[in-house]
Amino acid sequence: MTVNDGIAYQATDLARNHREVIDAARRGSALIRDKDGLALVMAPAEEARRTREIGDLALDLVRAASVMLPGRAARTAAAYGGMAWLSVLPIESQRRFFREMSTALVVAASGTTLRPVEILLGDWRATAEAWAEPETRERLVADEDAPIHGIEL
Amino acid sequence: MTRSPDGAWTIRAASARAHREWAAAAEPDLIAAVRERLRLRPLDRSDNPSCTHRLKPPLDSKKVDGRKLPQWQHEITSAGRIHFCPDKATRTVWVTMVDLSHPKTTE
Repeated sequence: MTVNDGIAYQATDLARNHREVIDAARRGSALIRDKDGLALVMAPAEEARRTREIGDLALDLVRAASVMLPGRAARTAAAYGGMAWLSVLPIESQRRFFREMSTALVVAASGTTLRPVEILLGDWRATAEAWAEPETRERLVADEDAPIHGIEL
Repeated sequence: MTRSPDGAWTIRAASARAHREWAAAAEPDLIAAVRERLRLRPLDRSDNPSCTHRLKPPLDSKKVDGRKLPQWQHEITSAGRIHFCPDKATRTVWVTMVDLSHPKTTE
């Protein structure tokens, strides 16, 4: 979300020049200064939601990354905060997740859709879920040497 | 390996166990929908990004009949999962595991 630094509207502009204020907000954001000097921002809701989600994810990622640092003694699930599900994966996979997620967040923060971030997060969560279940893990890592060629499902 | 004339993928079981699981799936309508999806667009997640996943390391690939293939998962229900390995070269979807997480029966 980019703040329009060019114009600071007054609270009274919401009544007198509401179209101008709203148009500025629709273009990105409108800065409105209240009577006591407090600065407020009006912006498209979707853009505000996107910015908040990127921030939340980045914070979760930083918390998780601090646990992955070499020499860190206890990698408890709780230490990973909002990404506790990540703790079940091998440390090499966790570090790969960090690299992929960091890149995806930087790209999303540049103004693109959050969809790639959501897909990436979903892929990693599904992997962690499968890895956490011993029987599922055992089957998914095993080679399949006797596939059934003759029958179509 | 013959290709389907309509460009659809061929679905096969990667093991006898996966074949039994597919056959034993209790919800015929559910499996029918999954079959259609895997047959026509196994790699498409434009309409359901939260249900179809390409797995990541250490589960990102699997050897099927000597070929290393990517490993995917489709969420059938909140608890049901189907795992599969698509082979683009032969347009074959190898089903490796069907887990509907039904309550286990007493043996």
